[in-house]
Amino acid sequence: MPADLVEALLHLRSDIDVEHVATWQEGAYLNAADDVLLEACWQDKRALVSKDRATLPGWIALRVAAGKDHGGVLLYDVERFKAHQIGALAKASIAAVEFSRGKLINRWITLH
Amino acid sequence: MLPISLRIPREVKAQLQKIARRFGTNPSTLGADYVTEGVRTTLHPSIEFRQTPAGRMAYVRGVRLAVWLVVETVEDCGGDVERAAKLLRLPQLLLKAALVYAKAFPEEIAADRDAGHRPIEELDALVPNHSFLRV
Repeated sequence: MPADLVEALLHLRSDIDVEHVATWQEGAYLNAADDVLLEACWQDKRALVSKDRATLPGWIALRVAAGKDHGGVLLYDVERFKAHQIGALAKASIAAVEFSRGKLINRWITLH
Repeated sequence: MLPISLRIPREVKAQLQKIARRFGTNPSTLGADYVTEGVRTTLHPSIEFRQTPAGRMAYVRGVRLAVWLVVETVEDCGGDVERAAKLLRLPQLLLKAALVYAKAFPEEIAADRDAGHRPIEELDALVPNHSFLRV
């Protein structure tokens, strides 16, 4: 997700625990493979925000097939949200959190 | 495609066969892919290849960012490289290196983009516990 999204989300909801992968756990997962990041997110009960629908569905399917849970996925539609539309994306992400009542474990919500 | 002959240590051959089985391919195809990627990353050292469920994919080295997503971000920003680099928190030169790679291998990046633009309706069939939220 765009780095500025973190700031925008915290501006809207300061109670949300949100971090960019570049800074989360001191950037330990900045270069991690997606399956490693998904496992780390699960360990931390943290949902992943992404727009990568090329590979993420496959990674989640592999986790499910292996009998593993995941921390949740918020996927935003690249046709709906352009990279610079940080405000709209932040509002949509908040809407998803409220829609799910913060219960995102093993859920995948596509924002469009 | 042209054939070449290579000599590799016995244990490397065994590992290649093992990985090929895991990826559902054969050692020759996988070996050719590795050689191709080795040549490309030598010529484009800012690029690395990652194994993904959608196949091998070009990424910007050192960050979790596929080249096709860099291309899209620059397009979203109307070609403004500086703005795109700021959004992605990437050094401009690294971003430009990704664009150079995309220009050199347009068909590969186009295929990756196609995968990234699969109809979102397909997600219902691919992902358990999936829901849409129109916002």
